[in-house]
Amino acid sequence: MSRNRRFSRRKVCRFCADSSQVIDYKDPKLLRHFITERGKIVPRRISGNCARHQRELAVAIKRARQIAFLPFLAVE
Amino acid sequence: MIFHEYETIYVTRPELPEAETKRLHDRFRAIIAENHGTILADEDWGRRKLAYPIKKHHSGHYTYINYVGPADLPREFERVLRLEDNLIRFLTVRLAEHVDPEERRAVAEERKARRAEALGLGEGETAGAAEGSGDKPADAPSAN
Repeated sequence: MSRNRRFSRRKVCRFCADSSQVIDYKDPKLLRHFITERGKIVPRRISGNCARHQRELAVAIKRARQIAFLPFLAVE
Repeated sequence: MIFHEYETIYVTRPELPEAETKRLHDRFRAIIAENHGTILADEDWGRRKLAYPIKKHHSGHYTYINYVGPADLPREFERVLRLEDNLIRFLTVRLAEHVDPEERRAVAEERKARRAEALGLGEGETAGAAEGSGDKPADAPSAN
């Protein structure tokens, strides 16, 4: 089945699993989990989010960037 | 008139004196009121570090306002915000469309009351009584 994928840990979208988790651009602490050290948005295939929540997350991260809660780019 | 619910966050220069920040905020509140708006909540988030420098500042004073108003309101509000030199950034988001201002206010009052209760202030149960727009519950320990 998942023989040639080394790390095949089928992740469930954490926002679907826990409906109390609201995606809010005013919550940089939560959003930080979904950006890389560089400040890029973590892709869905890595984060395991479902399409809907990934979309909401992307909007939230972009808004957070506008008011300087999150960086547009970060230097390591 | 059709009303929508909005929230605006604005960032003022960090070196701006407290009194001046307050004065600005009162002015903005007045603008919302003048343009058929209702303020649901406003919060002072204090000084925070910016994720990247804006106009050579590395921190800024954040203020949050949540309000209901006609579509012209954020247009006018943002126009005023743009004219203000002491602001370094602002962001307005539409939270909901076609809302009933009275209903939204009731919800906001209830939320405020619940929060006050959670903080252990005795006055929590007076939802709907004092209809002031956005006065914060006075914090119990004021030792500074």
